[in-house]
Amino acid sequence: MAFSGKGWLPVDFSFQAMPSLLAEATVRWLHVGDRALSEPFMEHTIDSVRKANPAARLIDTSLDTLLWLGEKLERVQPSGFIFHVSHCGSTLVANAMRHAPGTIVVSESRAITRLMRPYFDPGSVYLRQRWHDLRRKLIEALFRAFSHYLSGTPAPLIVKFTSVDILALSLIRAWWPQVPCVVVVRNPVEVMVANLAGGWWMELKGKPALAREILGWPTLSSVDLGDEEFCARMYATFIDAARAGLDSNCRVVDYDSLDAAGLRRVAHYFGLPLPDDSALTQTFAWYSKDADRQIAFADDRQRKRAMASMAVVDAAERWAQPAYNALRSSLHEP
Amino acid sequence: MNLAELLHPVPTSQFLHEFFGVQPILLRGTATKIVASLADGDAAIASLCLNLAYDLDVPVSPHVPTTPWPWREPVRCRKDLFVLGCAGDVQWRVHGSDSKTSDSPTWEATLSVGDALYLPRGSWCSAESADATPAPRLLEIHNPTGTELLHWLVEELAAQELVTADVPRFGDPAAKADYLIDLRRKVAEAFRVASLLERFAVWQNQRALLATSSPEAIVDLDTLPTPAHRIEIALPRKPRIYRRLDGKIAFKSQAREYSFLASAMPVLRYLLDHAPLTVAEAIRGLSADFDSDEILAFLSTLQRNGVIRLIAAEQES
Repeated sequence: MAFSGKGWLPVDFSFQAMPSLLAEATVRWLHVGDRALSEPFMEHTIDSVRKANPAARLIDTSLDTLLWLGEKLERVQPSGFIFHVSHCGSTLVANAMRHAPGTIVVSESRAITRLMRPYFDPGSVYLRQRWHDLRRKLIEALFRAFSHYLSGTPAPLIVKFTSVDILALSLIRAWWPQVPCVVVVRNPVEVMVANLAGGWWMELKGKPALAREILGWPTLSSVDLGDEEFCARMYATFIDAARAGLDSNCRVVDYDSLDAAGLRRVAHYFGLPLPDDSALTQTFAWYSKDADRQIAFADDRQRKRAMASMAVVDAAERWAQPAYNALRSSLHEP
Repeated sequence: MNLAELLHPVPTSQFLHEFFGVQPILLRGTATKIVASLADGDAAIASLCLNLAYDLDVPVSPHVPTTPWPWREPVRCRKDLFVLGCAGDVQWRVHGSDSKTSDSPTWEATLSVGDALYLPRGSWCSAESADATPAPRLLEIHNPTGTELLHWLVEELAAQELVTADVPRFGDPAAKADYLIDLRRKVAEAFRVASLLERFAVWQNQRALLATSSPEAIVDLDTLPTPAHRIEIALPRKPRIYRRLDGKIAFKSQAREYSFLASAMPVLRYLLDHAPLTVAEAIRGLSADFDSDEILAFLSTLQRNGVIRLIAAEQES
């Protein structure tokens, strides 16, 4: 019965449509044993252990089980947070941090996003505060569980959030102001071209109610916007959220500076020792999101800009570039 | 009195995760008030059982052991027990929890008047006291077992055609073997569902009935709540609230669905989070969301529907 959380990872929550109104939920746990989170994304690791033979054990528990574990385990101060605007080199940064011995890098945890993404306001002071307090306790418990899962003792923890989690940057900073934080950004045209090719941004565009809930646009409907305008506005929303949450322990890192020296600066900023350059150089050998390491890395900045249509360039210029410029003017690389 | 008060100062979460089903724990003086009330009858014990059932999400009932008191030889607890010290000092010893007793006690403590003792299911216990010391009051916790889980699962599986189909008594060997393989696969699939235990818990929660009639101290249902009234939750279990397709919020209790406008959620949640509390405390705690008339009206509705009970201050034991 003495559950230390060793070997078990909380991987998802089953919140109802409005958790701020109805916070009843279960936590899904996955037994990964002593397997490192070596894939670029946590979901890759989850898929891998679920497809193994025998498949990893899964179980749902009440939120109380996670909260109790959170109370039981030693408090964890993560070594660093990585926020980003999507398709901007943040996975490369996370992959590089994995080279720091003993460090656990949680990359784009679904559980964190389920907890931290914006939800419709419950219209009640009491429920709003209750949800705020519950989220605070749950994410604290998540971090402790992540940090302890390998050995039962806390390991240095880097949390790379999903792009939408940048909307919760202010909240995360308020809760962990001492944790070094980097916000990875990239030229809006390049980000938009990548997202227009498909993926989560475009899926969100097709779900106007969800888009309104997450992006907080009171008068705009995602389906009424052109794809380019939607992406540009979404990019600006992300950058604005980052600007609102930046503090003295945050650094902005632009894709253009993500070479070995840049990654080493980020690691140093997080207080993580990285091995010699040859190990770090491997990080650049493969496309950062390719778990199988089959696709070689290629600098695609020129290609992406060449692919950008006039509509993309215009939309970026009108809605995204001002936010990007404003952020860059406060750019402070580690 | 509720579980938190009985356990104080041990946090409920610590008790549930570290002691429940694992090891005994002596709780000094936490049952003083309830033991003092026993002279007036068993109403307080009945009320405690209801509250413990609500907090533990399983039935709790008074237990009269078949083994004569005192237990000089080890007796096995067939269920998890709370023991309330009602008279004298009793030396309780636990002699292991395996199928056989251990020679020397693995745990012991003196239970005095007003103390409470938790004993996990399966414990072998002995109790030594002066000859005239009356038996303590025992409360039995009916934690679900694998047997109940399997019964529920059979009901769940019964919706599937394969499970309700005839056993091929006169089939050839291949037909019989295939039948067993298919059935085994169905059962195995059911056990692979990660949410199985949580679904079972919800099912048990929703069908639970109040074990005894409500205490007598309930105000007349036509009486409007006043700030001095104390609010208690009258449901047998903590409700699991969900949102219906029509936008209303609802929960199931005692095999019935209770539904409310979503705007009622703050009051409902506040009561579930804080009860027992006075009406005045509820009005104060919800003052940012509702005026007192709105709260009083909703409390009346909840009372009429048996979700809460309102107890006049002078009627409290």
